[in-house]
Parts: sequence; structure tokens; C-alpha cells
Amino acid sequence: MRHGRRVAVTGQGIVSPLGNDTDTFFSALLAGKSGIGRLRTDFAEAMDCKIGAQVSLDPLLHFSKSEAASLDRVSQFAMVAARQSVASAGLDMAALNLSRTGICLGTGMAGAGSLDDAYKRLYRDNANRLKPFTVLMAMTSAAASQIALTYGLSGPNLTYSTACSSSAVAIGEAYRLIRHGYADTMLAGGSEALLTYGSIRAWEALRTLAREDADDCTASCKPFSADRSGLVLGEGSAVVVLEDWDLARARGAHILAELVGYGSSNDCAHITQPSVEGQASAMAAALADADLPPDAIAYINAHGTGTKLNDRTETAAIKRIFGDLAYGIPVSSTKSMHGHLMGAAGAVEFVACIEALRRQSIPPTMHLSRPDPECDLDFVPNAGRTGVTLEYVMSNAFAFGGTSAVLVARRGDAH
Amino acid sequence: MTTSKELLIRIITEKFEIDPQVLVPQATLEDIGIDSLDIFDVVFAAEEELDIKVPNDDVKIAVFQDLVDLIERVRTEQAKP
Repeated sequence: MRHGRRVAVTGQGIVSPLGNDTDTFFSALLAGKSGIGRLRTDFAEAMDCKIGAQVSLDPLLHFSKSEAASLDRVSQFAMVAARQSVASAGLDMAALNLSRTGICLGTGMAGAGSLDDAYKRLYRDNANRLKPFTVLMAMTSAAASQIALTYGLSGPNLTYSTACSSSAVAIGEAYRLIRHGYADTMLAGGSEALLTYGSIRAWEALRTLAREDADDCTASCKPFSADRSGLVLGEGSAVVVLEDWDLARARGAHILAELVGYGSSNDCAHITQPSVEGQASAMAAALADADLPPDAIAYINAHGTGTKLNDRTETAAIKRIFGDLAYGIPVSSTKSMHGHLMGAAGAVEFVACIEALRRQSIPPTMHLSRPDPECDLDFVPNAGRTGVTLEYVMSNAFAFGGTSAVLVARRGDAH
Repeated sequence: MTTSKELLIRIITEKFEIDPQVLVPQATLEDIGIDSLDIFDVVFAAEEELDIKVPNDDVKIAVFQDLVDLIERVRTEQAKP
């Protein structure tokens, strides 16, 4: 028995390696296009890892020179995505009760670029002072706070940092705030901009990054394929507008989807190794929250990082929850195309789920050429599907550190 | 040599894309359209260009002329032989 208020998704915005609006993003996914490529940075040639999923965004098309100079790239992405989202929801801030309107944002490494710049000045250039905005650009809550300031959101202003599940957690917690009556309207999502020299070096050291495909670097991320070799780092942001269902209806909003379930759990196993129990527990919690049986789910957007361990653990966790039904549910990892956006991954993939519901289409897992006996579900290999019937979909987000977060959404125009 | 006033006009107009005509001696921060945090950024840029260090307690700026006077004073005090 569900309790609490219904939560509508009424707006969405995205800045991604596959384009900076939701139509372009999802069309690229359906077509199997890759946003992964050679890093366009001045340090790429020196790296072991020369690939990533980069965003193309000219800040001066969106901000004044002084604004751009005082916003880390992670905040620029989030603000552009938030503007799109507010516009697509048709939100009139003047008509909202702003004390019951807030923001929940997720990020893994926040202002990594600002910190990198600061350390370069200090340790490489031997400077003894830093830019006055360094703290304000690098702090983890900067992106959420800048958005809240822009719109005068005086309700909750919360930043979640649980590594790769950060923005799924942010969306889930925002949903709970509305569902249980603490807020009426929430912006929710995540942002990440960690393609810096320091961050990439740190990821290289962890030995989880994909080997560059010898023939086609854009095909280097191969989730669920036997020849997968790791994840590809990406950057970007996605922000959605969540609203109390009745208020959204009352103002005549176009409802893109309904967020019906959220579950989170902790692996408690190892700082990097995922556990079947932890992932399965979050999926079970999301289904219970939505008051749905497993057979209601018609598509799962997998966490599917492309690491050996994640993909086989996630496959086992899906089987643990869905049993034999698992073999009949399309499961895809869009990270094969947009890379792993870390703290923004959950939000970007939630937008993919909303668009899947809206277009009744399923994006593929690309570059899946060699079946792995331990990954034996229907991973929608190498070609998207259109003309399908999707009522409920699930989005998985797991993380180093152990925090799993799972969201369940229902199509918006069905009721 | 560029005067402190010329330097500050260049820094502020480039950073904030404003009309230099606004930068009259008695222009307040509000007149210029910037805030106290922006002033720290301007002082930082001047410090970098002139290789000086403005002490924390000295940055008390009400009008543009205060900023010119501050930079001019520190520049004179810290002039390299």
C-alpha cells in the first residue's frame, strides 16, 4: 500500500557528451552514437588514458564573462541543465511558494577543475596566493547553491555525494521530500566535471579505466561484453523538475513521467567491490516503495559500468530480484555511449528512462560483441528498439563506497 | 608606466564588461555593479600584475577612489628597488 503524495516529473534538462538537450541526447542513444573519444585537453598525450566522454559547451553563450569566471565547470553544467529543466516544465517562479521549492543535487568530485587549477598554481608554479573564488567554486555544494540563488529557492538546498550513485540519491531524496510533504516542487539531478589532469591520474591509478579500443576509440566502453575492460570517464549534468502531482495537474503542467519508487541500500562489503546483496536490496526496496511486483518492470537502465566485476554482479542482482522474469526484461547500459558521468550518472540515466517512457523506445547497449556467460540477460545489444510498450522502468545506480540507489518511473501520459 | 587608476579601470572593465565611464572617483560598488567579493577578485588581479601583496585588513573599499588609493599606496610601499 503506497502512502504519501504522488510525484510528477514535469521538466528535464541535460548537458551531456551526446548533446546539450534531451531530444538530441536520446536520439543519439537510440541511434547507438558514441560520445566517447580522444580527450580534447592539453594534457591528453601524456596520459595512459587518452579517452573520455567530454561535453562541448561554450560558457560565454550562457554566462557573462565574470559569471563564467566565478563558476566551476561543474556548476556551469548544472546551471545550464537547470535552466532547460525549468523552461521545459514551464515553471513560473513568481507563482510558486518558493519556501516549499528546493533543490537536491548530486556530485562526486564537485569543483575538481578549480582544485586542480589551485594546486597547479601552488605546487607547480610556486605561487603563494590563490584566486579569491577558489573555495566558492570548489565547494561540493556550489552547483546546488548557485541554482538555488538564481531562482530564489528558499526550501531545502541539499547536496549528496555518494560517488557514482550521487544523483540517483539526490533525485530519490527530492522525491521523498515531496512525497512526504516537506516540499512541493524540487529541482533534482547531478553534475560532474572531473576530466582534469589530477582526477584522471587518480582514476588511472585505480586500474578501472577501459583500455582504448585499438580499432575505434569511441567503442572502448563495452558493458556486459566478455571483452569489456573497464569504464570510460565522462562529464555532464542532468536536472529534472519534480512536483506534487496534484499541484502539477492544477497548473496544467505537461507530466513527462511519474516517479513512483526509490530504494537505497549500502553494500557494507568492500570500498570498491560491489555486492549482489546490496544491489538487489536497493532494487527490492524501490519495487516495494512503488508497491509493484517485479513483472511490472518493462525496462532496466543498468548501472553497467563496463568493469568486469560490476557487470557480472549487477546481472546476478537483477536475477536475484526478478528470477526467471529477468531473462525477459530488456536491460541496457547507456554508459556504452555517454561514458560514466560519476555523480551525474544517475540523473543522466534517469532522463534516458523518462525519454524511453515518452518515446516508448529502448536505447541499446553498444559494443556488446562477445557474450559473457556470467552476463546472460537481454542487454539490447547494439541496436535500439522502438515501438515497444513501457509502463514502468527502473534505473540502477551503484557506487564505490557501497551506496546503491534505484529509481522506478511510470509513463506520464497513461493516467 | 601604467598608473594604478589605468590598471584598475582595465581590470574592472575587462572582468565585468562594463563601461569605463562608470568608474568615476566617487562611484560606489553599487554604482559599478559589483560587490565586496568582486573587489577581492579585482585586488587579486592587481596583485598579480604588480607583484604586490595587499594586506587583508586594508581592503576596505567604499568608492572607486579608495581602491585606486589602496593599490597606489601598497605599490609605492612595496616598490622593488
